[in-house]
Amino acid sequence: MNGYESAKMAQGAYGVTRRSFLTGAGAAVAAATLGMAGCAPSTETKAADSAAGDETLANTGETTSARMNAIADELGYPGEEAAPSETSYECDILVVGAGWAGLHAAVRSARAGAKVICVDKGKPGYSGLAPFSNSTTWFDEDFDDFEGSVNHDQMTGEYIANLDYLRMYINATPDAWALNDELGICEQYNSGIADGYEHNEEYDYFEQYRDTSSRHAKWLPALEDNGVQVLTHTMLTDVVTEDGRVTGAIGFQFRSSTVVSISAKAVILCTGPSSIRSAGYPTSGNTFDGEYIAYNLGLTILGKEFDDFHQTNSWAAGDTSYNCLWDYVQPINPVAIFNCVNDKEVIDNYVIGKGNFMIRSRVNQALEGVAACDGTGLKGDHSPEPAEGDPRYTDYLTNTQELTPETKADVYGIAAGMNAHMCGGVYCGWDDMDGKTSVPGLYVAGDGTYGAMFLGAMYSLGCTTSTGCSVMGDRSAAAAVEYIKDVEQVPVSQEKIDAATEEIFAPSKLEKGFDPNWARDILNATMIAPQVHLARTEETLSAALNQVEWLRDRVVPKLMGYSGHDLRLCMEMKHKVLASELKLRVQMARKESRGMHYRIDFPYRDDENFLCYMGVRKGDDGNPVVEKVEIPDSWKGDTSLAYTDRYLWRFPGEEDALGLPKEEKGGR
Amino acid sequence: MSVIRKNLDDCIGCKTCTEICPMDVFYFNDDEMKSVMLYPENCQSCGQCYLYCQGRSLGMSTAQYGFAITAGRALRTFTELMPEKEEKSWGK
Repeated sequence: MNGYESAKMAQGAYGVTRRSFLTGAGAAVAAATLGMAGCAPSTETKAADSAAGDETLANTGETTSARMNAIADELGYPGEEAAPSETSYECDILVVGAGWAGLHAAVRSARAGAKVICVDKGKPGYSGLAPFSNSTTWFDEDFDDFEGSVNHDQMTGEYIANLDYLRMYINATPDAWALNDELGICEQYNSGIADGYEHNEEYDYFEQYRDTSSRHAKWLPALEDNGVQVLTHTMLTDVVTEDGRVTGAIGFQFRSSTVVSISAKAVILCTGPSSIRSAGYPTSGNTFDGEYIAYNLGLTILGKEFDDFHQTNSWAAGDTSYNCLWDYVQPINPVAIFNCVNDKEVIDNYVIGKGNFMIRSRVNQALEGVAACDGTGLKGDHSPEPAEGDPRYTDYLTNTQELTPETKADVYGIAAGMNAHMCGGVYCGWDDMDGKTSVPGLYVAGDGTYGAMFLGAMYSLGCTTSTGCSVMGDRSAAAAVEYIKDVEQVPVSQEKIDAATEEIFAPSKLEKGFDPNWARDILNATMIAPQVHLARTEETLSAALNQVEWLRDRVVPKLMGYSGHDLRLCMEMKHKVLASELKLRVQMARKESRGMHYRIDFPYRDDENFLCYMGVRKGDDGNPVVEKVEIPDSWKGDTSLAYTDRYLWRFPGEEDALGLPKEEKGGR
Repeated sequence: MSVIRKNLDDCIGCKTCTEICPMDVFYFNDDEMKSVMLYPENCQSCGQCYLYCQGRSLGMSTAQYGFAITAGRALRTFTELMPEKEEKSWGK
């Protein structure tokens, strides 16, 4: 018999039935183990070792029959994990997410004497986007140009970048980097491969690195060695408030289907940037969980219209291993980004280059298509080149090699639904620099979660995400540590736990409904279509909104899940559908093009009406409200300049719309 | 959807893939001391399991399996978790 059948046979032995699952008693479900005695994988299901028509697979060198044997050998459902010994926790500060922001928020809080719990949906160091950072930066006053960096950012960010936060951030980067350096999570090493890695699986060199220098393996110890209690594989589902202030949170340990509660005086959300895709770009463990919580607490979200720019390749469109994977396992390479010379020509060329690379090339693809590809010639170079004399590069860094040079990307939309880096999150008022929300005790930090918006309408200064998140984590920790001094501990009420439990397990009560993976496919088809994702009109956005509202009203309530894993997927779909609805509404409201937001029907920047942010929040009737969020004049640059001196590159259709002289063809 | 099992015999039961996968693809069979690639449809191709597998039991494939877009699709679950079926009477 095969794995599935042997598992079924043993069902009586360990008693995992749907009835016991539906009670929500995760401990009862998970206590037993699967009895597999005598049920060795059968040979009857194996394909012949060399059948007629057996092919050799190019990427692994194995035969198709060998592949089928491997699939037949996979064991079946082993039951869920044992429930954690504790389901009720208490701390001073709860940090949600263990990426660059969460790591800093947790470690700084703990070092300041707070009792800290950090909750992560996976295992710290391997979840979210933090494992895949491949560059960072910090300000060196002897080498870098402070005002040059600010001016680069202002113009590239299309005059809405938060320059006040930017100035603070630049000055804060050395301290943020110092902690990362101390924790050893940016350690450099001589990694590398033999020549000609392409598409083979010789990872001898990587194995050496894996066993001695993996920075991912250092992440969890960095937290625990600093006294942070870490709850892994736990999805935060609710932040609990009483009398308007934070008292804690509720989470779901999905591998054992266990609801946990955490009483906390303060909560720092560091849930990262999210996307709606499920394969290809490693962000999809992040599914707008923090945004969903913040929105339902009445907070305003900024930046949803500014899309991410990352690429995949046509040949293996959903597969990041041919685009990003090998890069992402590199050590972090510091890349000087603050040596932005304060010279008009340098800045102008930088702005045009960014506009061409990040924006014009992607929208042109949506309008004109992509060249054919046979899977060869996929070369690219992701190695950042240090500027001569850059003090951040040391001798051993120059020996670092790419794990494969054979990477190339040609198609945008790999992280569909995701904000451009550092271009979205909760709005805390422009006077705030700590991520302090209007809910007492609730803080936000990190990419996609704290809307400080210091890069404006696009990813203006590269390599700023990791220290950007680190700085945000540092400041939120300092603020939370002060706040908790006057706050009493309040247990999470059983009533709230019961209500959350009922909502989490609702999909397990359904006999008929929909697979959350199917719903994901429908949402992806709606939102990743080029006329929604890249080049929009009022009509295309409105059509997509109709589809998303149908999902919201008629599909999400009918999503089914009979395992903790599936219940997680159901909640994630609920969050993705809300995020998609909010995104569409904001894109419809911003009737212009700016940065990473392009509209065919308004293909120009409209400073008179939209030199601002568009925030979305939950209205009193429960429906989203989109409102302008004005910005200080000091960020806006010189509005008396000629349009073509303020905005150096053209969106498709912009020249015609504004009656501007045609420029030379540029971009890809 | 890109992780593949090259050879289950090579799995040494270190549980690394089970612990580190951010998409909850892997569970673990304690009796057989093998990981179980239980939810490959949720793989996001990050490749961490492949790179960190100590037994070199896993691989990454550009071939991806998917379902046709349809007007609805039932939950795919495991036999153990299906509801007990009542006997139906088809009489009048």
